Amino acid sequence: MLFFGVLSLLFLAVSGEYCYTDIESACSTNPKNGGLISNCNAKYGSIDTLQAELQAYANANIETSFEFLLMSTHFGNYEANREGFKGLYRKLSDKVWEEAIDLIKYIAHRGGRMDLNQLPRSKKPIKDSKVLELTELNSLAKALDSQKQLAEEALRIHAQAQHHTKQDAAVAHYFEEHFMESLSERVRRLAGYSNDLKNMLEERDASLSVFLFDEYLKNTL
Amino acid sequence: MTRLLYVFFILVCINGIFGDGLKCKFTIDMRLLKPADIPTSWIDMTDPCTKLMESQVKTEMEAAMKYLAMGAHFARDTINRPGFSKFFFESASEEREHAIKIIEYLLMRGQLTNDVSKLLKYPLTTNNTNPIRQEWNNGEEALTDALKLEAQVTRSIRDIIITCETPKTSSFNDYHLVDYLITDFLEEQYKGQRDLAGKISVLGKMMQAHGPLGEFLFDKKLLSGEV
Repeated sequence: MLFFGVLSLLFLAVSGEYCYTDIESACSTNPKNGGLISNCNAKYGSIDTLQAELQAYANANIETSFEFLLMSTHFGNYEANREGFKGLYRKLSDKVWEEAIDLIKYIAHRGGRMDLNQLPRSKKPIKDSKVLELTELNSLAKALDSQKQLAEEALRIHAQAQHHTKQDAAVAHYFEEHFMESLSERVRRLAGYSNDLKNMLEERDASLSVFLFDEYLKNTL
Repeated sequence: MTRLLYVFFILVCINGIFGDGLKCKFTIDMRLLKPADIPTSWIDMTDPCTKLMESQVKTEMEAAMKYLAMGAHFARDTINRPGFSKFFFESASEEREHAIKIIEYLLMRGQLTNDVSKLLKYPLTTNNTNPIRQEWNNGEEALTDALKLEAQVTRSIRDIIITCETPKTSSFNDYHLVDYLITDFLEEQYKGQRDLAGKISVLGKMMQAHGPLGEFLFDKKLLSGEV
């Protein structure tokens, strides 16, 4: 008798986790749980534990996209007037915005839900990070730091997804495919730009160097 | 040992001051010294008008975030309305484009030469007091919400037009800006609102009689661009 009792308890515990049993119950003459089918979702792996991280990362991308847009705006005004820098940051802003939307779609894809009110995890490293009217060289340095921060954050989430006790290779794969390559490419490009411009400023007439570099940037867009 | 470190520290400092420091200082000065002497008589936007245009950037971006929330909601597994989701995600990027168009206009008129950081602050709304809505009961409710949102944006553009046409501080009528807002923005607002109202009408009728079936059908039509 006790054995059956334990068995039925086990059965109940197990049955709670399947969509099929939910459906059977919901469609029976006497539906339990008010006919809810809460197990008919797309969740598997460790999406539940990773969800908050993914939400925060999507929001970090939105925040970065805003920042790049404002940097682009600054170089678009008539006093700065650097078409190349303006275009560079505008393109980065667009790209990061699209990546945020794609990640939001992925969260939904895995049965999760986006929370736009969840704040990004990472704090901005530089204390006056809210100042966005920068010189050309300073702006490159800031852009590099901010892309690197996103790259580090992506690596951290990837490591968590991969080495989690309940591994989630799918999340790890998503990060590899959507963030690793593009971020490393952008980090490298910005690092190269920073060094190029810094070295060219050693010329006596820096304004000409910046003009030429801006023209170069414009042509690479 | 500590003395050695101390000497090393001083050496590093000296290098910082007299080494690269000098060259980099030059570029910083480029910002402080005005690079060229540009007359400002061509900059003629009035202050109240500029302020409203600047805050419109934020209004458009807030609308983008609200549409993002809708897109995310309808993409969920248990909601599963890919048509609605696609429609709202596209609307989100459109609203962002509007914000950028306003920025471009202000740049063309010689504005935004300082304090660009105050245009957009993340998060746009304080999350504790005014969180973004993230759930809707059905597609009809979300479309209705979207129509109300668009009506708000339209009102806010009309307010800019009124202020820029007859600012309280001066008699300067900003014909060009007003014309731009009317032909580029109001045109799109009214067309967009009509489109939303039409969608709500079709969906509302179908859902009255057929509920989820009506919503399901409408969603697939929305996905393939047939409605």
